[in-house]
Amino acid sequence: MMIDFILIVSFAAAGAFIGAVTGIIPGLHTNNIAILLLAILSAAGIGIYLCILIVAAAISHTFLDIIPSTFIGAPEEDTALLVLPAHSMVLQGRGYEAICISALASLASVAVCFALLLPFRFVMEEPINFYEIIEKNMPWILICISAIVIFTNENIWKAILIFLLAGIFGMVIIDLNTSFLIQSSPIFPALAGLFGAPALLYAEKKILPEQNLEAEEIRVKKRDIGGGVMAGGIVAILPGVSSAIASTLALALKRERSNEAIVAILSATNTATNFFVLASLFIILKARSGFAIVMREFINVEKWSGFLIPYPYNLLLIAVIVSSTISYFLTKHIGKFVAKNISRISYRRLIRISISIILIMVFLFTGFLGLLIFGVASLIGITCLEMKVRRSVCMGVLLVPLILNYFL
Amino acid sequence: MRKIYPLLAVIGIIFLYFISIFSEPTEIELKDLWKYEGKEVVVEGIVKNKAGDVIEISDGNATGKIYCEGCDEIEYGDQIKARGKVGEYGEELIIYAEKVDILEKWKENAISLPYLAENYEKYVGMNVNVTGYIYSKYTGYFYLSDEYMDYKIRVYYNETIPFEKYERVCVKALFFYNPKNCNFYLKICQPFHGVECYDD
Repeated sequence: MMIDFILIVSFAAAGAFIGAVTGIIPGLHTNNIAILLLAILSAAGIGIYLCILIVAAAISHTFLDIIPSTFIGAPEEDTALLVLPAHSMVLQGRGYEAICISALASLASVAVCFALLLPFRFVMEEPINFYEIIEKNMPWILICISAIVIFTNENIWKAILIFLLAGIFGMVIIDLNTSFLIQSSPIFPALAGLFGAPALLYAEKKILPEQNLEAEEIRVKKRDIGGGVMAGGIVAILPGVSSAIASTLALALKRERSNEAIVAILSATNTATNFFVLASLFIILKARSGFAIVMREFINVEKWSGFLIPYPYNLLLIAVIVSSTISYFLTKHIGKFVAKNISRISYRRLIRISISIILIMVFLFTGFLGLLIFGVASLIGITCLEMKVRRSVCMGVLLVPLILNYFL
Repeated sequence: MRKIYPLLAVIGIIFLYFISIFSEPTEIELKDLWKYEGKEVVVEGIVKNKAGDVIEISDGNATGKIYCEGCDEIEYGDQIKARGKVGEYGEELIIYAEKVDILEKWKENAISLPYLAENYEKYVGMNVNVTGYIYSKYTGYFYLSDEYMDYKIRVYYNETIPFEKYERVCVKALFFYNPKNCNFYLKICQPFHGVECYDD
């Protein structure tokens, strides 16, 4: 019994460190690691421990991926909308504060997710079956999100133009085969271009201020965490709807838009999405992410039908607790290290380094076609900034193909 | 605002559109189907089963399902290539085919009896076109063998065959395994099945 517990904690800790590595390398996802584990260790007979490792890595990734998004402006799907506010905080010398807010919001989000787990199970499945209601009405929900994203802009016509431009761009690239050195999708170069490059190129300051490393009094608002968790919970159960849509949904409903609030909401959404993807695997028996699909290959997933949390979901929840605790401190520690050292580099040089890292990652994962997608996406992102339209409008790149997929 | 940015973006989208027209989706193995949910893929395999518009294919390592409307000409044992989007179908994944090409009709792919014996997993439950020699004839069935008589298989056929012993023939039939007596056999049971003289 004790040995089992030690093994669970050890694999969860190892997973947290793997997730930390994937989190701080832009473009690398835990799904890649999960697929790699499946290819190498599928016959090893340690399925449950590998699942613990994968879950821990998936949770940890959502804590750590704030770091490249904040300091070098290299976003992933779930952090795309976070780049501008987080990078703005770096330019105010508050990069470490952004990291601390994000880490705390993610940790708080895990706590709220645990509190809502049992209600989530009864709301989504028997007796309420909310899952079916959401699934049936998903295209309309997506249309409403799009409408909110567009109509909350000052210049609606410009917002519509950017939304459609990003949407058509999304339709064109969505099925392109961009896998280069590893299997990857065109979404990474698209989001890096739409959200990452313009944030770096249009940053007004030329000197990177000394980063404040005293972020003692960090607080996050309960309603920000609650909003993020709700959005993550709704989106996690739906097929083809990514955490980026959850972020857009969470932000669309938010009136106050301080950088701190946006960072907190999006970080909470990001972590909650992966938490509920895991829950969905046991509640509705659907795998809504690559890591959940790989887990299904390793273990027999049995439906959670009663009150008690079934085996092995209970072990995986222990992994979530271990991983989120380790990841919280890792995020702050690595974030502090980066914040401390980043101001030693001139801002012009930092931008060059950041853009080089993004370009290298885009090329390694998606090849020349990925670079072309990145270039076009950057032009759309820059047009969005020039027209003074909110960046969330660029989420048309995912929303339009998804909506049309339901109707065509 | 610099108008050059949106203009270049539009040109870039048009360029990418032309690339998307000429680029083929990824050709994948059936065991990797789950990695491509929501994506367009190309798969290849031999038809193992058909139920309405759903075709089950196998590529030797795994099986996968294809939803294809109006694919009536596809038969068990045909080698097909399908292009379509991976999506959910009840509890499992399926390829909603936009295009299905028959690479080889099972009838055109004549295989020898030793080859069938050594690759039986690939062909069980499917139409096969097997070449061999008439070994012996009985009422309701006959035996087919290879030229060295190392392999023999029973072929069920209700009609009398107009061939003599040791004559080389092609048998178009369904290939079955009987677990009760651990035997493989061929059954001529469809209008397009039969026995023909082997013609080089």
